[in-house]
Amino acid sequence: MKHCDSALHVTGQSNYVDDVPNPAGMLHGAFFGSPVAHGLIKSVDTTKAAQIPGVVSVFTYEDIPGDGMIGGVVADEPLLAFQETSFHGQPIALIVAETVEAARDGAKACELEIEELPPITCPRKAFEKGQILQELRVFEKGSVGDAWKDCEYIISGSVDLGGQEHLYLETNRSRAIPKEDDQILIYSSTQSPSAVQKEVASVLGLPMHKIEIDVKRLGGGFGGKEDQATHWACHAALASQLLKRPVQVVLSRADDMRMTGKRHPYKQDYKIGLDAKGNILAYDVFHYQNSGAFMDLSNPVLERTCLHSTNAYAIPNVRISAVPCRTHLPSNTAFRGFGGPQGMFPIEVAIDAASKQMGLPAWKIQEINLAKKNYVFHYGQELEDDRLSRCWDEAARAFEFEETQNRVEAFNSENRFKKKGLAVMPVCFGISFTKTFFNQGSSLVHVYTDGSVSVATGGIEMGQGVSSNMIEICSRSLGIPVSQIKSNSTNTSRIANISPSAASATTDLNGNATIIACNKILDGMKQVAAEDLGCDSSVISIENAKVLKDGTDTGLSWNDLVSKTYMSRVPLMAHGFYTPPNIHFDGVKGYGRPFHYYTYGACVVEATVDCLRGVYKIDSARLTHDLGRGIIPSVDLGQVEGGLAQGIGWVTLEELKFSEDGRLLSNALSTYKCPDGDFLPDNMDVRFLENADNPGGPLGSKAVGEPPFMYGIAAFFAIRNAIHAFSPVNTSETVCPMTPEQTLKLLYPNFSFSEDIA
Amino acid sequence: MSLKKPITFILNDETITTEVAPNLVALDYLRQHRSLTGSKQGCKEGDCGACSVILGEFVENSIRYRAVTSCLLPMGELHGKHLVSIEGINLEDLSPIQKSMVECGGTQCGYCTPGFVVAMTAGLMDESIPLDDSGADYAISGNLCRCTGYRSIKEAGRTAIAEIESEIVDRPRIEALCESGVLPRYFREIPTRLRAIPPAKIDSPNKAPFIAGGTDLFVQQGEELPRIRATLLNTAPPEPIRVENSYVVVDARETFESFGRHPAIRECIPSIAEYNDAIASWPIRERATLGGNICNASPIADMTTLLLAMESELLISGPDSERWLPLSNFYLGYKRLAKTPEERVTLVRFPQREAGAFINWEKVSKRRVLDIATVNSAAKIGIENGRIASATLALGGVAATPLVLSDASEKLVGLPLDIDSIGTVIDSAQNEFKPISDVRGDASYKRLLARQLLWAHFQKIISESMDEEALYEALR
Repeated sequence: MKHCDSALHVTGQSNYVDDVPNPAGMLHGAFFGSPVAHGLIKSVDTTKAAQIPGVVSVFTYEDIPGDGMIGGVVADEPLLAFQETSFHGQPIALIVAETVEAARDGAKACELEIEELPPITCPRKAFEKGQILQELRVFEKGSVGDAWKDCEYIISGSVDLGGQEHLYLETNRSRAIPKEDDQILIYSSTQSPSAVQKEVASVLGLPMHKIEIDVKRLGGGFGGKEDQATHWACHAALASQLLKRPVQVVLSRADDMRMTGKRHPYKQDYKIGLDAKGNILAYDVFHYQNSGAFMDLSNPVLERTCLHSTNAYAIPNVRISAVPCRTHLPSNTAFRGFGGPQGMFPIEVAIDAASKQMGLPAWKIQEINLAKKNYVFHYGQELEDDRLSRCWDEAARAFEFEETQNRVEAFNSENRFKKKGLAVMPVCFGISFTKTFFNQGSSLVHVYTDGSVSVATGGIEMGQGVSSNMIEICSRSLGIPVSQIKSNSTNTSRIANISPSAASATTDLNGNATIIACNKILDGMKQVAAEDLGCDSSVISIENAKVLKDGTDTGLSWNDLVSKTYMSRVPLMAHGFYTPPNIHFDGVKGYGRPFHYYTYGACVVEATVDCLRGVYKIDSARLTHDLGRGIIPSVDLGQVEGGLAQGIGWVTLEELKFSEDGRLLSNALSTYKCPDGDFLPDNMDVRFLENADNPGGPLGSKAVGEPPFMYGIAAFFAIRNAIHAFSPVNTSETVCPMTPEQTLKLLYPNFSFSEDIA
Repeated sequence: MSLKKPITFILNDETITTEVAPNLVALDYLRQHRSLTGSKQGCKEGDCGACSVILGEFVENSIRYRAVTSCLLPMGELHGKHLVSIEGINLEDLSPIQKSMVECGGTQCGYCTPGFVVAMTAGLMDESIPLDDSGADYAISGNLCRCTGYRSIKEAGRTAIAEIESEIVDRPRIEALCESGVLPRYFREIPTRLRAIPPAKIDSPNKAPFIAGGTDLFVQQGEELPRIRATLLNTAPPEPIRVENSYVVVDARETFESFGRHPAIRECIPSIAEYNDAIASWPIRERATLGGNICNASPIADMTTLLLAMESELLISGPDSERWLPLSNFYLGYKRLAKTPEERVTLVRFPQREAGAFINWEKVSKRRVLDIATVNSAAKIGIENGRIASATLALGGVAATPLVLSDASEKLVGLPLDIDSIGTVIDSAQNEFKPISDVRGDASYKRLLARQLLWAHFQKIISESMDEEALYEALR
């Protein structure tokens, strides 16, 4: 099958939150945001705003009936700023009006008296000033201190690693509809319906059972709507509850970009030691996370940074230090990879720096140090199979690392103003929420009397294909065609306490739950069939909607059996619940077995730099990826290619620029550039590891959402290697992304122009 | 007094007569007034293509269809035209493009998908776009997708073209597309139906402010414009490009796309198609006009930089008079023009290319397609007997206005094409501008980039005989 919504998508018939016809009397919300990154609010005057024709009401913090503080990990963020503002654009007042235009006019008419304070935007500076959201964490294995003396090469340096705007094409939005008895129905573009439900209940001072969250699909999420869709749903619900009218909040692109958090930028210091052969003996890294104004998900993001700081390498002595630093930017948040990419980047920088000193291609050092089966990571989990090596070996063979390297070098010796670069990125990414309790999935399968089936799970459809996967899983579990199955919206009244659709685990958790639910229904149906056919239920099976006995057609159809089951008063609906076995993690000690399993792969990227103009082209990205046994090939491939594309974007074009006073300058699609069809290579060659069933995944599959993102990191080094062939690069200070600006400056480090002469 | 004006146009298969604020954009009209929600709002600045629609209008005697972004399209322009949204190309079965998108896995979250389908369909409706892979990619140059990585989308577009190419090539295109199931059959009746719409009453004299393509005005003033009166210049197509007294004369309302496709322009600026490829995107080039680019006065206006090097002149028409002014004298300062608000630029002309004249345009932006230049530059260089006989160098992005480097241009005249001589001039050119740091790059980068792009012109002129090692030594 293909993505189950494809036909709706290509005809423009898919509904997103604001595509459903407006309920009568619906109002629209807009925000008055802080004009400064950091300030003390002296007064907010909304009188003029309230007088704008069409404006119905203006709400500030004082109007919140329940708890005005929100936040999934720690409730430290005011829904509307009061007393102090902590980032530029932070909502201070919610203006609700008959039209979007009137609401925005109202926002412009709000008056604020504020004492501007100096903002902090750099995490190192925040750390120096003691602005941290949590104490410094240190993970240690072996003793780095003792290891340096055994090293032939010791290299240290710093990394300035940029963040990333999610740029889901559908901005954050929510629609709240008041119901009887203070109940509210909320359509939200969220990855975490239960988080929205919980926060709305808390903000309104109502029990959760009065709040129903419904999510059909998202126009992209990528982590940006895991914790940060909640705010806008709370705002819509607040106004709706207080005015008893439907209220919709749709952020403009500009508001979405300045008001919501992004991938965390980091500043990092590393030190790596290798022996003469290139074996890494010690690695020491310090991560200063730029967390933004509030906790949001910074703590778990940083935890995954720590877990993935050695990426795919076996290193005997490791020390990882990490601290989340509070700055005056929107709270940075989940984004595909969830801190993993930021953990992996500096070890790749360190290996690259070592390779330059040793005069070896970096991939040879990567290869030597690749972790093997039974290797134990610094947090205690053992590598239980040899698939990492298999991926690497298959990629090296299929994509001819050695020959490619030679070809690139030959090209470079023949060309003066064009240079090519090559880089490889292995990935070893742990699958599971590191907050172990989140690893639970629920599914509700309904078989109706006409034989049609509906499946509803906690999984949010955000393009990644979880609905399609659920349908396929149902189809194979029940033995009926996909055309008979519909995936229902994710709704807190159908499924309680839903874990966020995140951590790549949505299909794993909800798919396994769906199999359990299907089997419960099947058990009952088989019992009925067995009685009808006078045999044991163990010999009954269903295939292609036909009931088989010992593998032969009984003449009984799926629909017949459904009917008989119903008439026999046997349930045709079931709830399945799943949690992966044998995972545990002590967050304080930083030790345990946090992951159900790992997803692996290796990717080789080639790039060509125009050394006159300082622009580059990604020529190809070719990779071998361990997918387990894939569920739907086109959906899986789409996840790999899409993740890769975002990863390439992160390290090349996608640059968040802030002014000194903390304003986002790259605040529109005209100034924040993500990859387009011209930029990304035609030559994306994705190969899946063969014979790779994953016993823990539904239908033998593996989680696929996040791991491919990190393949994109190879693009950074491919470009930098090409630059290096033109003008040797100082690798001790690495800045990511590799924009055309940085590229040209690295190509011509000696250029200067004295303004005095001018 | 109400801002609203009556218009009659065809929306998909329906002829509509309505009163609208002329500057209401089509995206808002479709979604809010017609509940046609297949067109999505992603950015409202023409940068994502999620709201792409197809606009059809008579050009001479046949209808020309092109993709445009509905978020920047004022309704007041639509009288007598055919506006097609995704809903207007849906058939009982999926079209070959839609099928191909499904089969190739070209859709994930789906939010950008209708825009891609619309743009691909529009690409097939434009007979100037080749029926091959390059044409498939061309059609979607204005569409962003954040989910797929594009490989599958590009494959979908290319596959669809390959499948139907033989059915539509060398045949009346719209007719052929209707028969191939790409377009609904109502498209065949559209010419007749459009002709039946009486021309709009021209009810007011031209009054400032003027809106041409609106590709920057609606981005900058999108919330204000629907509430004010303005003169929409693009209610009728521009006058054809002509060659007169060794000048190429262009209606200022000419779009970038039509400009770049015109034989007279291709004769004069041989690589114009290649330059256009790096200017905005296809749907934006179908709206952006020469006059708009010039009058918007952005310091990094792509087309203006080229027109400066071409030694263009502007016909400035006021209520009572008109005059010709060199483009290089048009800018008085940042966004300050040598014209009154009532005056408007109506024609642009530049000399035909002399034999042996070399013309080149360079641009570097973060992303090659659909991005604003960090620095751009154009050069027109005449060579005689191995020496530079004439030179005009233009540079954008390094000052408050697009610049002609008059000192450097003058100094080049008479010089041999050798690296030392040219290098001295290029280095001294740095004294003619003073870039500022902004979101597109810091001042030192812009200076370096300016040097590199000026060199890029000469690298192309000298081409084969260029001693690259010597250039490398000069630059490093």
